[in-house]
Amino acid sequence: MLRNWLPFLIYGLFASGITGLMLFISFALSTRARTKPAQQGLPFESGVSTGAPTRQRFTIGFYLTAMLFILFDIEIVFLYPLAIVLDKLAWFGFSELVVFVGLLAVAYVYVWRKGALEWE
Amino acid sequence: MLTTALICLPLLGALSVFLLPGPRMWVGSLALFFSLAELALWVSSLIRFDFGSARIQFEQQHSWISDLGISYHVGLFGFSLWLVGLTVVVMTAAIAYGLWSGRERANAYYALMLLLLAAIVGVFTAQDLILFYVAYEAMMIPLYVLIGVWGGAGRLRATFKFVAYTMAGSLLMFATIVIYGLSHGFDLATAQQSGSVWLFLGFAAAFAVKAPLFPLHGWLADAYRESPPEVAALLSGVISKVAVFGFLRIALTQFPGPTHDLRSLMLALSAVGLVYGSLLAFRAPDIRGVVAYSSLAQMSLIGLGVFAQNELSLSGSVLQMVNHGLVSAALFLLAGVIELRTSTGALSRLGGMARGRPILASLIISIGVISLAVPGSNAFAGEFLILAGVFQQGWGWAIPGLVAMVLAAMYMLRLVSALLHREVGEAVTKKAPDVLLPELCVIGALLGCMLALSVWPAAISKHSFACLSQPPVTSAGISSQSKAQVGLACVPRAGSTTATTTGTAK
Amino acid sequence: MIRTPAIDWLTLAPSLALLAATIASLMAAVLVPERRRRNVSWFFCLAGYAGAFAAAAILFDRSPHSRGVIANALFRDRYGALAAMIVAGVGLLTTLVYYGERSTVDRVGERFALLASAGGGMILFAQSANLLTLFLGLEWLSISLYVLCALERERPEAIEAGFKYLIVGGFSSAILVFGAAFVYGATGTLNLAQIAGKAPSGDLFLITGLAMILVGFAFKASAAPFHTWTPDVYQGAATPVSGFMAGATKAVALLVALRVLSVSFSAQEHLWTSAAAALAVTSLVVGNLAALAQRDLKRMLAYSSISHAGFLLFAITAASSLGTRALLYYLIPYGAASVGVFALAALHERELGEPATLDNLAGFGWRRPLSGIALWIFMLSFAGFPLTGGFVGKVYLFAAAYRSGWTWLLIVGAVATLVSLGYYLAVVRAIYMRPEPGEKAAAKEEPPLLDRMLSTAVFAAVIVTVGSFFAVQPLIDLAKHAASQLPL
Repeated sequence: MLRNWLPFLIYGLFASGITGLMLFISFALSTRARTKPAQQGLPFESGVSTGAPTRQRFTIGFYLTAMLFILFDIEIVFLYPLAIVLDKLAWFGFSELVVFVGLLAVAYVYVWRKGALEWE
Repeated sequence: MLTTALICLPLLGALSVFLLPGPRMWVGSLALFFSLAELALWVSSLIRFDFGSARIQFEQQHSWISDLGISYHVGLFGFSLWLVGLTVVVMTAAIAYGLWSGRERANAYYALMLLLLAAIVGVFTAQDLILFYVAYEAMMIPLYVLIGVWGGAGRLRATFKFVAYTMAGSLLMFATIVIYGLSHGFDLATAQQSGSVWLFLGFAAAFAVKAPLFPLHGWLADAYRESPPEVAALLSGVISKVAVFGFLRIALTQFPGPTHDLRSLMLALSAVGLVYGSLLAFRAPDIRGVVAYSSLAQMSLIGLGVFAQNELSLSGSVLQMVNHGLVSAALFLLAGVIELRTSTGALSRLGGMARGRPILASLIISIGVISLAVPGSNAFAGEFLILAGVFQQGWGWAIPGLVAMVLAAMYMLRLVSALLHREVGEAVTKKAPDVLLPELCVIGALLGCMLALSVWPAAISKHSFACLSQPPVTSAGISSQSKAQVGLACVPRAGSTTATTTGTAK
Repeated sequence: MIRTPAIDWLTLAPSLALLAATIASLMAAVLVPERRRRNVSWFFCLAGYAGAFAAAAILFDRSPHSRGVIANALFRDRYGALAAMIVAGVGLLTTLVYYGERSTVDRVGERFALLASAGGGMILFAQSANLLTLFLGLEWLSISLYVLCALERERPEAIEAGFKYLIVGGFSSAILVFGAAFVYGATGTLNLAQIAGKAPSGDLFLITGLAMILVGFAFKASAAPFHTWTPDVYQGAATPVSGFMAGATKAVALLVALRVLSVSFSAQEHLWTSAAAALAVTSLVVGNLAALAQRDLKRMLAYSSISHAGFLLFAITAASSLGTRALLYYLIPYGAASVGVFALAALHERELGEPATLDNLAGFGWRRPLSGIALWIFMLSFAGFPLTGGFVGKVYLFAAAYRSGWTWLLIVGAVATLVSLGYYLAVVRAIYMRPEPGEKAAAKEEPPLLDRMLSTAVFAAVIVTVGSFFAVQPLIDLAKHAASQLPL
């Protein structure tokens, strides 16, 4: 029983570990004001207390880069299952892989030449 | 081949007239040349036509949509030959008149006229239902633009009414043709007859709108008033005959049962239209109104003859179709001549035009007299045959005919007197010239045809229904089904194809 | 060892040609110097469509029997090949028209890449033999078209068109794929040919799936009541693209719908024929009545294309071999006339710099006699007048409906045609019978704007529209061969 599910357990551990690590690192490395927030020292008058703005604005270039990254990232994930059965598929699989990577390369060249990767 | 040539020559003409550049007169002359060539072609077919034979002549058949059994099948027989002749003559006159009156945008104008000619000839020669419908609809394409572009002030309204009425009829016919053709065959020479009243009505509605017959004439006055005179001449002279041809060739021939059952209805509608049209013509305020409503009356009279369905009345109908075609074309052209001089057609503003204009007066009076069927004229021969035939069918039906003949005299004489006599109208200036030579040639030619037919009406009345003695059959094969084809249009019942006498001359 | 499917390259050739054209013109869009960019990517697109047409023609010739190839993912048959030929033909003309369309310089190459890509997707869609490849083709073509609509993002209408098309199109794809899931649930197979007979014909899941798939197709074919996106998208997209969508997208949507319905759902024929009849009548009513009220030419044509969806659905309603032939035949003059009429709208727009409306078309026929006649011919073809292929198509559709017992549809069709004359002839009235406004008279002096590519496309469209009336037999033979491969 456990043998069958062990890979999933390990996978889960890795997933939560990495996420936790990322959270921890960003917490540890971030810079914060040493003192307590200024509002706590203020006398309460009335109304809703204004916290920090909830909508943080990123530069549009960030979205573009992130979106392109996700696209290529997900495409690359497809290479993993192919890699596992590559020995069984032999040359057929290899040629499929080449076509796939070729298509990605075309897209990459387009994105690159179009200037989408430039940070302005 | 000859029939195809009759259809293709105007098409070729339309193309070359449209594409060749040149001054207006040159283009018009080219168009006239093509219509004269068409006339020559028709005369040659007339000479080579065998009136003794009931076969479809100059026949040609090609596979077209073999999937559904639709073919390009054309040919001429009895009365269709005469109607083609009428078309060609009136069209030649119309083009000549257009050339004289100098239409704007000549290339397009003459190309459309020639296209219209091809379409009408196509209708009269088509031996396949779909081909018939193709030509029938193809007439609408140039007509719509001819009226809408070169027509009078109210032309857009007129075209709208015209299209709405006629297309309502013909789209109904389209659905009917598909149903009929798939169940009975598309080829008119071999299609089986049908007893379905609905299918009959599908055809009859389209033809009744086009003719027009009584309750469906709403488009008539506007279209005839707003068209250019030569197009109005074509509309009333030729295109209304297409409808009667449709009745003869399809509605009556293929539907003997429903025709018989609905005869009283159709006769009644015709009778009402006859009297009603005559009355409207009598009180119409302008020249074209008089001619338009007299056209309604005349078409109803022809309808009476067609639905009375015996030898006399059918021969008379065909003769009267040609007569009326010539007369109303001439009258519309005359209306154009007068409007050109006075820029109005209102009778209240016209009058006294006879003074100093002898040729105009003679033309109007002679054509007017022919149109009210004075004994000795071709129109008299036609009307007499029709009424004689109708009388055989039932004497009661002949009464409206007689009433209408009196009314015809009244409205025609009113028109003549309003134009020529009385005091000089306000719109008539001294400077307005008499009929000029080119106009005289055009209208005189039409008058000449009428006079020729007055001398020898039997040329048509005796040479339209060879099928009375034997049915037309395709050269492809003689089948017992086709026995009754056109023959049934001449005689009411299939059994009586033995009748050998054609219409008796007056 | 995993058994790999045998690849039938000829079946794939039409869509591969267009895929190659997509890649080539996309690369040209970034790698070729700017001044030659348009020409090079245009050339690749044109070559792609020409190649696809040739490949489809060869495929048609060499596929006398229908069979599934590449692990039953695609059909190798004449039906699919003829659909591919129609798509490639329409695409070829659109490419010609699109050449002169004004736009911002930096996206002049991409439009040809996307145009080629959309064609490739359509061909795959038309050949698909199971619900998965069908969905793949659908998405391929749809995504290309979404982007193509929104490509000129400076114009707010283009953004609106792209966005609406994306949302509604995505929704319809979702419904279709949901339906496919139901069908899979009921039958356990995605293979079109095996769906039939796997489940009892009254199976609730199967019928739900059928209904949802039908809705998905109706969206793509813009049949009412699933038409709401059409006017905005046709109006907002670049004019040649609208022509492409009217001519090609609708064609493949209906062709694939007919294939899926006849191959997979033959047991439910009574259901989907009634549904198609209902869709047809709704489309005719909605399309015709709404078109009467339009003044904008492209909007009017959009509603006209909705009403044409209604006419074309007669063929599906008929569910017969004759109906299939009618559909295949009618799509040929219809596709040509669609491209042609939008090309003329584009010509007029480029001349005027504003959208073509019935008002500013006044005098068009006299200023440009040949274009005027072409526009006239296309209108007549849409209205089903003789001397154009539209007439023969209508004869065929009506005949098919009558043969299958749908006589009342003929009456609806005749009335709809009558109403449609109201707006088709309004165009003729506008171009010939309305006086030219005074300010336009000045424009007359300017040298005529001549676009040789566009003129070629319009000329070819006229030839096809009129030629299909006279030379019916060769087209019917094509349609007959293709139709015989459907189990109807």
